[in-house]
Formats: sequence, C-alpha cells, structure tokens
Amino acid sequence: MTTLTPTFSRGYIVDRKHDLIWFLGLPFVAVAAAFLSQRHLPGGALAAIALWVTVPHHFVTWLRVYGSPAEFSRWRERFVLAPIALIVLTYALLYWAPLSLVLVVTLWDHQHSLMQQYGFARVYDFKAKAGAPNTGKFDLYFNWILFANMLVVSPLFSTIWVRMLHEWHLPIGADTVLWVHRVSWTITLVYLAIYIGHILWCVRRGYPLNPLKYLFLGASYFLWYFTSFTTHYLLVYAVAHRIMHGLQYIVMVYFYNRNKVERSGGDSSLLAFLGQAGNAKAFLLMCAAYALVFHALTEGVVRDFGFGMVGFNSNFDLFSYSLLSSFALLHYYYDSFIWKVRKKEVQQGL
Amino acid sequence: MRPIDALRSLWLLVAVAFIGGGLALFEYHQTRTHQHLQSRLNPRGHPQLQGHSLKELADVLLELYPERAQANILMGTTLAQQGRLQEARQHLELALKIERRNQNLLFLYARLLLDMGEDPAKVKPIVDDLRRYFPRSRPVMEAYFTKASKGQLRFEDDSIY
Repeated sequence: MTTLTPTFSRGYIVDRKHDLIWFLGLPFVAVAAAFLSQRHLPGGALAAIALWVTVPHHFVTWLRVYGSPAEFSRWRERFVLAPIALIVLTYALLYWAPLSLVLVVTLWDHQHSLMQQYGFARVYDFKAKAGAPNTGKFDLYFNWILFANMLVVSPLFSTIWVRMLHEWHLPIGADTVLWVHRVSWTITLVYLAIYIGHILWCVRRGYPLNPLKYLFLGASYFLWYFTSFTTHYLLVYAVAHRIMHGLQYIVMVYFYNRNKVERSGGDSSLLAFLGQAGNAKAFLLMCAAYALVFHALTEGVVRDFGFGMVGFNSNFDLFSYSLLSSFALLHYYYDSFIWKVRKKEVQQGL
Repeated sequence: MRPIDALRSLWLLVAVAFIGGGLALFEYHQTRTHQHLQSRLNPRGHPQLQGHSLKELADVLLELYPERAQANILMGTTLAQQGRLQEARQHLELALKIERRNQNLLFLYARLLLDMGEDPAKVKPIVDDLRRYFPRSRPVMEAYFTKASKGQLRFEDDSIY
C-alpha cells in the first residue's frame, strides 16, 4: 500500500508577516469589527467604512490605470470610453429603472468579490509554483460555487433575493425556496468532494500544494458564511466584507506598484514616488484625500463651490448620487481585465 | 483602431449596456402591468412593494424565517397598511427585540404607536433611538414626529448622546 505524502511549497502574496496580517488574519478582525460596530456604532457606520475603505480602494484602481502611461496605453479606448458609458448608463437606470440598476450593481459586486479572492488564490499558487496546470479552473469553480451557495442559502441573502424576485413581480413560494436551497447545498457538497479529489490527485501526481492558499480561502469563506448565517443585520456582513475586500485590495495594489518600481523603476514619476519604500504614508494620504473629494462630489457639496453655475437643479443631486454606483461599476469593469495573473506585465508586479 | 476592433475590445461594456437596457425594459413592463410598487418619494429612493405583493412576500418570508427581523417588519408593514394595528404591533415588537438598530423599523413602530393613540412618552424613546442611531436624518425625523404628534413630541435637548 502506498502512502500519499503531500509536497508543500509556501509562497506569499507579499511576505510572511504581511500575509499573516492582511490576508489570513484580517477576515477574523473584520468579523469582530463588524459585530462591535453593530453593537456600539450608529447606523452611519457603514457610510464611514465606505468612505474610508471602499472609496479609497476604487482610487487605487484609478491610480494603477491612469497613473501608469504603459497601463493606460494598453487599453486606451476602454479607459476613455468606459467612464462616460457607465456614468450615462447608471444615471439613466437610476432615473428610469432603479430595480435594474440595483440588480446590475449587486450581481456585479458579488462576482467582483468572489473573483478577487480567486485572483489572490491564483497569486498564491503562482508565487509558490504550486498546483497542477488545471488547478486554476478548480479554484475558479470553487469560488463561484461556494460564494453562490452562500448567496442562495444563507438566511440573510435568501431574504434579499426572495424580496428582489417579488419586486420584479416574479413571486416565489416558500416550498420552492427550500427546494432551491437543497439543490444549492447538493451542488456545493458534491463540488467540495470533487475539489478535495483534485487536491489528492495533485498530491498523487507530485504537484506541490501551497497551504497558505487554502488557509486564505478558508479565512475568506469563514467571514462570508459566518456573517451571513449568524446575523440578521446586513450591516454586519457589509462592514466585515468591505473591510476585508477593500483593505486586501489596497495592500495588493500598494505592493504590486512597489514591486514594479523596484524591478523596473516604474513608468511614471508619481508611481515611482509612491512605490518607494517609506512612502506608504503619502500613498495613504492620497487615498484619504480622494475619499474626501469623492464624498464632497457625491453629497452634492460641490454645489457650494460652484457660484451657482454647478449643481443648481435637482438633477445634479441625482447625478451626484449616481456616481456612487457608476464608480463602483467602473472599478468592477477595470478589475475584470487588469489583473490577469497569466499576463507577463502583471507578473512583473507580483 | 478600426470600429470592429474597438467593439471587440469593449465587448464587456457593450454587454453590460445591453443587459442594463434589457432589464430596464422588463422592469418597465412589470411595473406598468402589475402596479405592485409604490411611487418613489424621491429619485434616490428604492421602490417599495405595496398591497397584495407586499403581503405575499411577507407570508413567504415569515414561513421561511419566523424569527428573523425582516420577515416581521414586512408583515407588520402590510398589517398596518390594512389597518390591523394591534397585529402589526406584535410583529414590529418582535422585530425590535431581534434588531433594534433598523431605521425603517424604528420609524414604522413609532408611527404605529402614534396611530394607535399611545402616550407620547412611550413613543419618545423610539424616536430618540432613531435620532441617536441615524444622526444624518435627525432633523427630518424631528420635524416629522413633531408634526405627526401634533406638537406633543418635542426634541429640544441633546441628551440622546
């Protein structure tokens, strides 16, 4: 009888210390922060998290694509046309079809969230040179199925999607909902067995495994499942999720840029400056300044600076408000193609 | 760049626009045909269910999750709309035990107590919670409840903090 002895190959997204803090430990801290905010902070807590975490995490995307001439020239037409197209689309939907806007933003947000964790999982395997050539596909389906299952079966999200169906006048009965839950759990459990089977297959074939990838995925799904099953309050899920998602993204972009600057000098003076070791404070200050400007813009405060020439009618209020969704959509759109781990130019910063 | 290449490069953006447009048409059809949503009070607001559709949703959620706040809030809302205030109150009070920091729930409950002719001293703590937990809408809430209570509720102190 042969025994299977896995070969482990450790690789970190940043390094041992930073990974422990930001990628493995942060989800647990985020859950604790979310429960504390529910207990002790007013309802505006989510707005504060959005302002200090979510908005800056959009900013670092703009910094990456508009601050880098090489990046910008790679997809020039997308970076010019997408802001116009998405702002117009968002404004029109908000005005004429608000349910459609909520649906598009919500679904894309969920897809974006799961793809970020998938992307980080790929980085873990890339850095450790771990997994088989087809492991990426298994990780992709793992993230899709587990995340979708959480959305489908958790009481928090079941309440939301059942309500959304009724808002679309596509009513669904309790029996059907329970049947959908059972199907979703069945698919998930079967796939988990397949995923474990793939890991065993990798071990048998001598492909190394990166244990940190599995710890990272475990921590991420702990946050999502724990908050969506144990709380009645969307705020708790949203605060925990936004802290994890936003901070991990900011850390990723910061070190991505720093690696690029160290390896190739950076392709703009701004990114070269921000990428120097010791300039993290300047990076964070820029993020904070952007958050304040964005807040002013979306709250209609710009009107106060406009000498009556800007924001003089109620459409401006709606336009300001629509920026919240359009900038989020823009962030999802850019992230869908600027982070392909298989691309050489992306690997340069990992 | 040729237009066809630009279109190929922008395929995801084009797809999102088509999906958004298609959904908008379907939404327009559904809302016009079934009239199941209330008119929005302002363009920032989310359309709310009304009438039979609201009751239908509340029934489903209450069957699935009788102990969850959202199901009880919806049932309380639909019963209050039907004028069944005492039954509505039971559901809203159960929801409050589960989830005290819900703006919509606190507002509904305070409004319901006023409609039931309760002593303003009983309503005041609920409105104070609204003011404390949701400071951004505080002036609007104070004005609303002062008017709704015909001046019996006053909010001159800052002792809620």
